[in-house]
Amino acid sequence: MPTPLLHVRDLSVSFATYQGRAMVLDRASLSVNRGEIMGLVGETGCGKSVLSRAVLRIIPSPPGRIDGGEIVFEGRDLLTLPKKAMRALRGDRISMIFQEPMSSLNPVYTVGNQMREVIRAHREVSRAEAQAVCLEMLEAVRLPEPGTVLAAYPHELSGGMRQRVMIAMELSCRPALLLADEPTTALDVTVQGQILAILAELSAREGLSILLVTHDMGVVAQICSRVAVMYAGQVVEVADVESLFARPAHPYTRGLIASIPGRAGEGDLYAIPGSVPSPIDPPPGCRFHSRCTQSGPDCRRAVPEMVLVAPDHAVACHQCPGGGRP
Amino acid sequence: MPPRTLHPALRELALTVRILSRNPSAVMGGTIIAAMVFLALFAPLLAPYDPVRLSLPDRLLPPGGGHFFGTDELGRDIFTRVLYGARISLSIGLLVISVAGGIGALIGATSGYFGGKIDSVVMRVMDVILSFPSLVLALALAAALGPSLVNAIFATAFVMIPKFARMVRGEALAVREMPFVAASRVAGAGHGFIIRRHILPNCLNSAIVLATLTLGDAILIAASLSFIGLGAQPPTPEWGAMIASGRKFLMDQWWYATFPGLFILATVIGFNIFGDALRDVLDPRIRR
Repeated sequence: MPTPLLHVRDLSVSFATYQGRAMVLDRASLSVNRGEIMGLVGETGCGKSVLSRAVLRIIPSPPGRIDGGEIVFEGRDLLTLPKKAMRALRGDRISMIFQEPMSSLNPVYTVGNQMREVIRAHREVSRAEAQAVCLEMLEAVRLPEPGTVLAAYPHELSGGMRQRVMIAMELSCRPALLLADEPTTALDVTVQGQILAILAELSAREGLSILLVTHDMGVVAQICSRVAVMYAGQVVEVADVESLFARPAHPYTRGLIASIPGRAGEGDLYAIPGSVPSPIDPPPGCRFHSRCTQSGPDCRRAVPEMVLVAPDHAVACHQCPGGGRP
Repeated sequence: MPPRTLHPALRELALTVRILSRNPSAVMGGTIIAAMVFLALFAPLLAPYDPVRLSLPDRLLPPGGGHFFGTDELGRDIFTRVLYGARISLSIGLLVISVAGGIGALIGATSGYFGGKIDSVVMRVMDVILSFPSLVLALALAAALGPSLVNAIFATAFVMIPKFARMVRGEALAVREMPFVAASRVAGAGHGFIIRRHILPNCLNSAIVLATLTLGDAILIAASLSFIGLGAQPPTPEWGAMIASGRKFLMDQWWYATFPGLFILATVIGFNIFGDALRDVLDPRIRR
């Protein structure tokens, strides 16, 4: 197996709150290979955004703290990298796009001004050369009239256009990895499809790896090649996308898939019973056991380890050891 | 997207001017300010006499004849001195606002952006300064530094800093949470760069309004310092200093202190109502 581009191992992140330390990530592990689109799914508050932010080390500290683990990117552990080297890496080798395209651009500068600046922060190029790169990138994200867009202020663009601008801007230095934190959540469905198509195309053409954070299983099915499922700060299942949808091993994953509207049958909306446990005082054993339909005595006692149930399909569940599935 | 003939920034400026021209108090304040600026700029051309040349035979002449506003106890033309006084007062106002606004905005933006302990310490220091009445503090500071115009400007600027720092800090607290700040960080920007490029420009609107509103106060405080002898020194034709020397003659020669006083009044009112109008106009919610 080739070495992955990004390998997050046993990453723990906690936040100080008035009720105590919230363990938002608890020994989470995942890896992203070169050129693949890796989906990271889970419900709100499971730590998927925190994980993607931790990779770039932009977790506000205090109150946040990275308690342990390692994040190896292109052979270097990002957690031990000096601040200056980290800053040089951001936007150049690893980029990130956010959920809020409406406010991800500074309203007081033109689009071109902001795009050129990212390029010139990382490359010794002239204004004209930067301008050329901007035009090329805007064409790559299929924005019509790139020249006009560059001269426009953000408020003159629609949400979909702004998200395209963000993608163009973040990819203008040809990073190896793009962290996309729910890039389409704020957009309507048709625009969402276009943005996803652009991401998939860029990934295929440029060999760009994408870690796509989402809570939308439909998005995952559409463009991801592999998926990691997170629950309450832990990665509970990692598999290629076909296996995950065809043979979900973790009960939580099965619940997620069953919750996709339209899957449970006409007019029926399925919801996983119960609610996510508090990260401040998580339950012992498997964190899902109180909501799980199959939990046994082991589930309350010991935290399950990730085991391979098939090649490239790992799961952390006591009820499905060795790949046996009911 | 609208067709662009002008640079977008100029378009916005034109829109601002257009909205302002429909606002009666903006027109009134703007006219007063424009008139003051005009008088100050062209004082040497408009003034019929020399502001500091003595002419003892013409002492304390009432308004009329060759002297619009009369003369003072040393025979100097009050109209001339008031015009030159506009130069001094407006320059003082601008200087004070630039110094206080610049330093205050920088302190506020840094404090608000970093937050936490830095913010607490800086803001408590600002609170201490704000807890004194600004005129009293400026007076004490000017007295400690010694009477001179430069010290009066410094003292006035010092007491104005916290106003700007507080306001910009409040804005910075909101701006630093904006996604474009996070986007800039993930694109590799450092803190200094973010403050300069993202935080400060987005606080500019409110800072401009505050600067306009505070300009009147600054002129008033500086004039007060001169009035009690801690600012401009004779023979400088400063409004506050003129009122101070005219006070002795108020009963019999009313024109001496009255005209400089009216000019202070007009200037301060002009800046205040213009600032108020500007605040309304720059509010994006009612802009379009």
